[in-house]
Amino acid sequence: MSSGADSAADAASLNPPEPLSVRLIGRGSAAGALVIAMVALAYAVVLPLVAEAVSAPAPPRVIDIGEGATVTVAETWSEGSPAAGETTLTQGGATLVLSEPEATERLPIETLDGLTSGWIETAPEGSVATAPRTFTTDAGDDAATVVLQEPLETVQAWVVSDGAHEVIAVLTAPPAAWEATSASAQVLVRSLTFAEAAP
Amino acid sequence: MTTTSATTPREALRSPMTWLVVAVIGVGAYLFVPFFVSALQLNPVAGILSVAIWGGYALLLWWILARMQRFGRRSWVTTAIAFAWGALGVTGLATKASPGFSDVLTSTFTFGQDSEWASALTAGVVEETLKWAGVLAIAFLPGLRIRSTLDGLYYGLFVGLGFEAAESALYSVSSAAYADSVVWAVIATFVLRGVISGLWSHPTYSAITGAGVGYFVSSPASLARRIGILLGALGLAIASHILFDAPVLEGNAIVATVVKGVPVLVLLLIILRVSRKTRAAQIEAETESATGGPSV
Repeated sequence: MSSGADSAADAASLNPPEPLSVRLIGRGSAAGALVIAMVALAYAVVLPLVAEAVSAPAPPRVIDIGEGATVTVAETWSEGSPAAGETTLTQGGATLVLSEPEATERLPIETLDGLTSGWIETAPEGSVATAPRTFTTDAGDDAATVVLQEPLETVQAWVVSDGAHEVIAVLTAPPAAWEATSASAQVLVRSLTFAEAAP
Repeated sequence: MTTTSATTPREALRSPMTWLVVAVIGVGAYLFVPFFVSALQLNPVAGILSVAIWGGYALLLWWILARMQRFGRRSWVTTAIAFAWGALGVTGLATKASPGFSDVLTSTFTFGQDSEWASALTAGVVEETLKWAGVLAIAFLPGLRIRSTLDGLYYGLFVGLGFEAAESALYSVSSAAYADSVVWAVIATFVLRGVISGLWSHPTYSAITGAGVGYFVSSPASLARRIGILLGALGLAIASHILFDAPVLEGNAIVATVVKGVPVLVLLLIILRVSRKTRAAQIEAETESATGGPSV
């Protein structure tokens, strides 16, 4: 019984199905091209459009980063998901995290030195840090910044202090995105205003 | 063995896949080259040194890998297409895709100070998928270019090598922009990315995905199994890449890269061994079928 089925099974085992590579010979591979085109379009066109829609830029706005301190944010920055004690902004693959104002008696450059030392200890081999640069914000507060170049990304930190409180801002960006976002982040940090001290 | 069957230029030009590959590499070059040129203009010494070092690195590895081939020589044209896909196609499309993916990620989830996780996830998903698409495209090019798991692994290595060389050259120039010594900064980046992590970096990940593509197109197994291996290999490469970039085990860069990288390299060597055995058995079977008896 079932000799027909047996011989069919034998035939199947003797002639296993041809691999796809053989079946493709002499064919145009339109289906394959469609798959690859969809992957390329999804990544190069659709994803940036979705990102634009999801993180739709708003007109320049003033954001409260806590304790009454504010920054003026350009429309190119999008607000990330809220987290306790910090404000996250994103732009073109870069992330800027601003801390809530904290009481301090240190100068911005002192806080920055501590941050830089901590970074250098944990940063990958080959990382380099620039010398800190000081400046004054639009509101007249003291501020300082430093750039740490790691092999895979660039990090820039700012510390702004009104003498009693300080805010730390950290920008993390892949090298390709850093140049564009650094200048915009600098303008944003310059706009930082602390709450008026109570009389 | 040759991995190309007789394909006339006319047949190649009639294939939509040929034009798609040309388009992706061309658009990639259009997007990536301006980045590199502006970095080169900012720091010409670093730029020229980076191109020399990473170009030499790529050529040396190309030569070594070509000499290590078993079961015949693969087409240098296909190898060059794989390299160009990685060096221009993936780097170029990633300049659009990575910021987009990162923005979607950070708009959807909270990373805060852990933004390095967002960078790791972005690089793993975007870069590995685009490299995977390159090997898949080569498999669909007219001319039977991939007919074993080993072929897929080989072309995957070259897609990864192209990407590694181009991306690292850009990173070298960027890191030199802030260094006191341009030469030292470029060399330090080369030692970290090319020497310390070179054995388990981009070429290793894309070789794993390439092996999956090779299995998908060359195995007579069921469609479900082949799709499982195809996507499983991609998932494995993405996970390995994310782990490598993730902010864990940081502190000592050398220890971190070894601990994160060695398992991936071991995995690739296992896949390579299995692929070679499978290919040897396949050739044996083909020889038996052709001669009517076991090969000697």
